[in-house]
Amino acid sequence: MTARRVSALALAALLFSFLLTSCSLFEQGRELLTEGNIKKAGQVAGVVRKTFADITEEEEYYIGRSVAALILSRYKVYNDPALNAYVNLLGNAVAAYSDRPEIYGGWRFLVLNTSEINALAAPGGFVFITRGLIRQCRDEEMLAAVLAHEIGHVAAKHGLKSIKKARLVEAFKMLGQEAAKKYTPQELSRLTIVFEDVLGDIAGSLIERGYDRKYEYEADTLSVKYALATGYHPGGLSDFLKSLAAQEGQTQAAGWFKTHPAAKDRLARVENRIKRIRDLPVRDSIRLNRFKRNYKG
Amino acid sequence: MKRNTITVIMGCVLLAAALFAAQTYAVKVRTSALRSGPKFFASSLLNVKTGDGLLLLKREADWLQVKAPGGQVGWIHVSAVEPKKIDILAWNKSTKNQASATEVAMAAKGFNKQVESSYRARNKNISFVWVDKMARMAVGRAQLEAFLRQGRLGEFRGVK
Repeated sequence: MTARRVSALALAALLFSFLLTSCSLFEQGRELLTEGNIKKAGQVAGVVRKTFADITEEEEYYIGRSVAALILSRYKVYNDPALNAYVNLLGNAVAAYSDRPEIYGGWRFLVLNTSEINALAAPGGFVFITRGLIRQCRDEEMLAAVLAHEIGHVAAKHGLKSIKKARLVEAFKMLGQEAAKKYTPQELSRLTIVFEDVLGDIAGSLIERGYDRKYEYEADTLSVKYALATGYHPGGLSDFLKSLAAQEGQTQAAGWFKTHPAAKDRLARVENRIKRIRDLPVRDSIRLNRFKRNYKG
Repeated sequence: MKRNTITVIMGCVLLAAALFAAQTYAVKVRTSALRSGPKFFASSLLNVKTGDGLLLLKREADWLQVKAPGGQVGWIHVSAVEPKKIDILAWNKSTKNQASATEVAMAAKGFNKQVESSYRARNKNISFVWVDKMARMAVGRAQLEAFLRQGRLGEFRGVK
């Protein structure tokens, strides 16, 4: 081997080893898992996590489970396995064509046994719809539109956005300070109190006060988008809103009437949106017949 | 000789560029699958779970074509993954073992099953019976495909 060739290979080897080292930049910040480093990392995590967007999928799932339990402490379940199976299939069909088809524990839908017209969506994909609301639906298009509206709330994380900012700061500060592994009884007790407050913020918006109007309009926009993407005629939402608008003022303000903006306002916005869509799907009688088979009224 | 040196240097530069440009992801949902095409009802090639690392090959709208550590290539929806830095040079080792101290600390923390148990112990009047029943109401992919096909929806619209 000539001296020139040796020097060329040495140069190449040097360059290559430099590149390999530089690749470790991928791992910048990665440290050995010692107790001290975990504690330090936890503190870093507390600093990094600031907003609702920093809530992990798993955390959203556990928050959602408890919000669902709170909803179910207010309403009884309509224990009709066939109707619940149909609503689950319909909901999952729409969710598959939403912006968030994949969610930590999967999408789940359940019918509540009340004549109140209402639908509620807890974070993590737990969606509830009342028997009173289904009664307002004349076909699968209308029911799909309402479920799409609720899926929109979860996809856009409106529930998590209703957690007070100060509460999140407090929660993340606590989560960042605690040591990893399992919590001590004292740490767990403090964290559970914060957890209860988080649930209170979400349940308050969902059940009592309703979301901010802009979130309801956004969920309507997403309903039109998801229904269309699934193949449903998005007019299902305007039909449903027309039905609500006709009843506004006649019934006691409860359920959707209490927590949602006036149906007439929403209807105008939705109809404007639908007018701009060129190719609207056909309302297939197969779906109408399927709806009638599964919901006897 | 000069040409050989340039070739080696160029190769190294290209390798480095490829490594730096590599986008890696981790599965963020409990379970999902790599599919044979960029759609939900494409056949499942490989089951994946939370934390599994994936290397991005290309993107088509909301679908990512990715490579698993075992070499399997498939498609996954963007909502199932999150960007995550992974050591490409240790690709053949389990990506689970590559978690940083921060990630481990984060994973062990948060509002998790332990916090839910504590909440349940403090609020015995709140029942989780139906929440657990809901969790078991999973809709199978074949069932969902049949529902869409019957209703001429999604990928099966217009199909009689």
